[in-house]
Amino acid sequence: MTDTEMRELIRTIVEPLVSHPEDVKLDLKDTDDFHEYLLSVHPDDVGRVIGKRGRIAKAIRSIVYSIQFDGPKRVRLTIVD
Amino acid sequence: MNDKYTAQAATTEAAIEKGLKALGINKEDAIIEVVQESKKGFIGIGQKDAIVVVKKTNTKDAVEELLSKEVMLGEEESTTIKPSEKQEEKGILEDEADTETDKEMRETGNETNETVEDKKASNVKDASETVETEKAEDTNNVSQEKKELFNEQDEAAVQKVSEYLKTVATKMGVEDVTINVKRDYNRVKFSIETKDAGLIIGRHGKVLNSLQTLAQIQMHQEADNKLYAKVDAENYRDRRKKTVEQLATRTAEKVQRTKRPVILEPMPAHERKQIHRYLNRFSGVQTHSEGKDPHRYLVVEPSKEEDFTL
Repeated sequence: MTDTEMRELIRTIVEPLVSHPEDVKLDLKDTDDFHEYLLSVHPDDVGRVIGKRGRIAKAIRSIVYSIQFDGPKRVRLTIVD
Repeated sequence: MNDKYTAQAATTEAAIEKGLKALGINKEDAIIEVVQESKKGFIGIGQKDAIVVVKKTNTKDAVEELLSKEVMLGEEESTTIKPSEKQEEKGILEDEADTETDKEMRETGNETNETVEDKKASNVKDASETVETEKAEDTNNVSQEKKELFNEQDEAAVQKVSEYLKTVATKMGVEDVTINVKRDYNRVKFSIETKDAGLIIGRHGKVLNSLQTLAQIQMHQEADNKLYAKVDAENYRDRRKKTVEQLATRTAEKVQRTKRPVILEPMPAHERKQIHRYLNRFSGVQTHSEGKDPHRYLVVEPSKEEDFTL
């Protein structure tokens, strides 16, 4: 899977969950070991993407990490607040 | 898909683990080649990381992979893949309890029926028996409440969640996805039909459970009434339930025979719960869980009372 496809996937997962889909931002930080996606949402929506005890965040991550990403680096998803 | 992965970590075991994880395979399916053993060194001097190359032996289907674990656990060949029987389909909805709320609902709904059933057949081994009576009870109950529960907003929510699952699955790179929706009272089951079900299910149903969590959340956000979402692919839930029950039966028999506690592999909450519920009906054994999630595991031990009948 390529970068654009990955971005699309994350957006498709996250956008319906939040009440301000227009404020969903996705940045890519490439480090030596990871393709790190920095997900930021509207302040009111942070709870919605993290969930009780990180349940939703965990679910999103396990879907994202289950994807075979192009290249040797692994994907990482960070929620910024 | 990558078939080879070179991993580096502080210990050989950790490196192997890392490599297997990166490929998403089990140890049995991998050829492990240790390039460099780890060295502890002294206060960080002379320390060397282990390097291993993990190769994939055969590209097994993810589904098969899941089952191989059970074979290991059961110590004998398991015949877990059976064509699903129509009658059992109800059973998924009954026993697949992931959410606490789900549990509450079921308990209030079926408790009376279950206790009666339990008395009738004190040492029930066949789950289908209870399933059948529950089914009968369900239809009675449902016919009254069903009408008021079907409202437009709920329908829209179900539709939306179904669309959501479909787009997510498609974006995951799975092609030709169709979602079958089945509604029974306030439980909505989404079956994802595709050729690539392995991707949707993930290792030990991880992806499937995640999709279910997300579907559940959306459902609560959108729907008027409390609806419970179940997500399934290729009848995984059904198959998994059978596997878990088989494992439970075997373990219980072993405990009855040896009168020694048996510790099971760590497994997710809802599977532990299935075993607890299932073995509750067995005399002579009792169950409890130990350890912390995600490594919480279940212990089956002989009951304290010695007067049990075998």
